[in-house]
Amino acid sequence: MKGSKKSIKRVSIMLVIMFALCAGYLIKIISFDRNAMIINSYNPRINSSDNTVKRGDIRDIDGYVLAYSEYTPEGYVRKYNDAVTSCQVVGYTGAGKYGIEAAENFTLQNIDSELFQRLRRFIKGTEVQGDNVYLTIDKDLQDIASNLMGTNKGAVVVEEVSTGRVLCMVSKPQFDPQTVADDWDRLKDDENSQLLNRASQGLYTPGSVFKIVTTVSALRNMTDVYDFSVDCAGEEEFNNKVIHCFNNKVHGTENIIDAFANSCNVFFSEISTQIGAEALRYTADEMLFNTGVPFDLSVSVPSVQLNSSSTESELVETSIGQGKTMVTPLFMASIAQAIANNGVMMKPYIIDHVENYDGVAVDTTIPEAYANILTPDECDKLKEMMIEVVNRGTGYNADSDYFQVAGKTGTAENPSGNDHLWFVGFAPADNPQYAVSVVLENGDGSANASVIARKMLYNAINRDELN
Amino acid sequence: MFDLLVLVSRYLFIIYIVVFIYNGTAYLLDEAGLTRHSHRRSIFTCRTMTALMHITAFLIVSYNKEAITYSVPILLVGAAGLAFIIMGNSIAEKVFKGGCPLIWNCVIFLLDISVIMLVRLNFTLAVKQLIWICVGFFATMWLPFCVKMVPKFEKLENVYIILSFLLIISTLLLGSKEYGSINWIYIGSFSFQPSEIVKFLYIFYLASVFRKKVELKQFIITAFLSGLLVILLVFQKDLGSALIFYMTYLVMLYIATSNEALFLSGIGALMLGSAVAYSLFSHVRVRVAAWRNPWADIDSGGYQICQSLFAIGTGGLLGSGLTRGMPLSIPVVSKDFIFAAICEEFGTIFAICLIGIFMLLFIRGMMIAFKCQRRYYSIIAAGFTAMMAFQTFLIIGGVIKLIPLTGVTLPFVSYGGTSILVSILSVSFIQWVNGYQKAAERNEVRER
Ligand SMILES: [Zn+2]
Repeated sequence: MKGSKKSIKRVSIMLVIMFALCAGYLIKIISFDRNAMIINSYNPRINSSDNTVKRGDIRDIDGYVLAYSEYTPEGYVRKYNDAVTSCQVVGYTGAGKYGIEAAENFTLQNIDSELFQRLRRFIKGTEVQGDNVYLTIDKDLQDIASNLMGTNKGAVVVEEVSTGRVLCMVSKPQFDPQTVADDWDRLKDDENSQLLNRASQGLYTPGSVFKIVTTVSALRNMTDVYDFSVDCAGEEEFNNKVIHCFNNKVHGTENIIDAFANSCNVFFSEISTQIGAEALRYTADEMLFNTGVPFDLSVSVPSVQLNSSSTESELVETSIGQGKTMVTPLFMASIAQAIANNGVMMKPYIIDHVENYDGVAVDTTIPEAYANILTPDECDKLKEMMIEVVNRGTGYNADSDYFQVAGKTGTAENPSGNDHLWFVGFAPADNPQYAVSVVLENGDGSANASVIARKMLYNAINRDELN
Repeated sequence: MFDLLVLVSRYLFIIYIVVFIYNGTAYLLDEAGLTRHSHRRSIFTCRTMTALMHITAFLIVSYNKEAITYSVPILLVGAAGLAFIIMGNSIAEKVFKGGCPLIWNCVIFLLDISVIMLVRLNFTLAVKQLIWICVGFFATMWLPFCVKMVPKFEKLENVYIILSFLLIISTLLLGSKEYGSINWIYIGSFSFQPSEIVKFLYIFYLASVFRKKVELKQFIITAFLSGLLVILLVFQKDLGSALIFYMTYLVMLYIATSNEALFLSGIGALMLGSAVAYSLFSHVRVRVAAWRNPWADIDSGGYQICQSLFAIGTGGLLGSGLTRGMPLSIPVVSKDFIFAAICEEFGTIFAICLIGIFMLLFIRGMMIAFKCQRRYYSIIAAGFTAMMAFQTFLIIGGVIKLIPLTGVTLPFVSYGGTSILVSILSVSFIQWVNGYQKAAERNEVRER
């Protein structure tokens, strides 16, 4: 009998532990997993909005109000203030939710000191207001980038090198968030997919900007990279696949620095056969291909599909950025940011801080290193090559009178229409401040990715002088 | 103004439940002989808190915002519920001489949460639930009388186990499928889950066998029959019941033998059995996959658990406020997932306190088993407590994704006649053991 008493005690302790586990796990969900968990298009609550409460503003980094709510007798209605150039970032609310309006829905609806605010409304008739979200983007830069792109489709991303904050994120074509509900039938099936944020979700063939990855892989896998040279005849056949240089240009005998500056396809195809498919894939994975980088808005994952059974033609195509490889403009901006930042990729972010009804910052994003993808030595070598691209190579249009730009161009062949034009880089090269990534879909010559990149870097560096 | 009431209610509910738990704990400590409190005052405060919670909640759920009026039917149900809270205790205490008032209070608190949540989710279900609660309490009143009618019922172990197997096998043959498990039998318009009745028979069977010293022979027989029962339940895809039966067996065996090695090897056998079940049955694999990463399969397998987590996460610490959440988007919300709905609207703090109330109930049950001098009764009390505790753990842990989901009901809170009847009857057996012990103590004093 005595033993069974002890057993009952022990069983009781076990039960207490079991339920303590439940309670502890609930606390864990609420304190750590909550935000990542509830921002999900499957969560029906994300579409709920209470129009008796003033939804918070969405503002740019200087406080410019992009979205706000206005009182009408029927309840609050959402207004957008000249937000077309930031439409995919700001998003919309009404016909579903998108962009920051979706991702920060619960913040914008969160009523800080709710009891106080409601009592105040009850007594003084003041508004009950959700939290305001301040973005890292600058509306002036958004307008400039939109102008420079003109009628071209594509995207521009500008990131600050030391922090990863996104100063500019433009996707074209654009829509008017104010009239989304009315235009919905037209927008939702539109073949131009204006609603898609091409900067973070658009998957593009990288073309020659992928040579950055091939170069890193060569540096990691070959002992004598700088001694390796190829005699370019403008084209060469690999396993039944003919690789051309741009316009079949004959580059002659080159080392890796020349070939990178000239964007020589023959050289990089040749060097990739020295590296091998598995090693190239390994380097790409180390540079976060196939995993991607998290972001405040939805992102697509960049992919490289090489493996041990890839054929030689698949390998050479991949090495020059053709084939099945896909990247987003935001991801390429982060790669450039990491090269400029001694290999440390910062986690890109677009929400600067959140402010309550009283103007007090309640939540401020702290820049955070996300991954160390390159060694400082590799960064120095890449930077040197990227300077050559601008000074004497394909990126001459990015050459600025005011500072040294480092970058890489790309022309990505695609089956539908003209090539996609790329520029990825950063400036000033000796003390990098901003990284840029530009893609123009089916570039028709009316705009030049290198020129846009140069002008965006200039405006970002001289941002104080804008308005 | 109404907005303010809903807003303030979020804090009020937390205050009510915290005061309830404080007084309940005081009662427990006192019962354990650690402190000296006024029993009567603790119990009175608990009851008052339940009544206050009931009134606050019904002021909210009966209000129709569009029409700006109070709904009379809901208010009537609310009044009936209030009468029940005030009267239920006293009646139960009168019928069960020596029943523990804390247990009745915890039960009534949980039942009240159930009715409040169901009024908010689906008024018809709430009325039905209230009727089932009355039926349950009425049935339970006859319990001491019925037990007296069966002489020497501790010696009927063979009857219990044969009946158990008959019921389980008949379900396999006649049962119909609901939510993926074959565990319901329909007779005309009346349906029931035989595995729920087997719960009682099984505990009585084990208690009868274990009332004497457990020799190797008894151990082998009980282990074999329990294993068979569990396997049959797994074949019915009733994984929750299978786990509950198995764990109850282990706990009762442990209490009867005090053999840790046996208990631990039982847990080891459970792990092994789970691994075997995982590789044999696709329905087990589906559940485990949905637990490990529900987001990967949000369209089908992971849908339920994701919707549950959305509700819990969006509600946050203080909840959305009663009537302000979207609990109807959770599948089976009135039954298996009612805990997620409570988390969403009452908040996580309240939900954790609710777990606290379950703990008060189970600790008190174990204390009764601890105090009871007669081995047979002690084992019965421990068995029923353990069985309810495991069921509660399985469904709460499943809903919050701590463990894989097994579709069982949350005792006292989930909607359903069978669930309510079984919960109330189980707790009644614990109360009856307490009453027996108190009577025995009084006789002892008299004999001296
Ligand atoms: Zn060439």
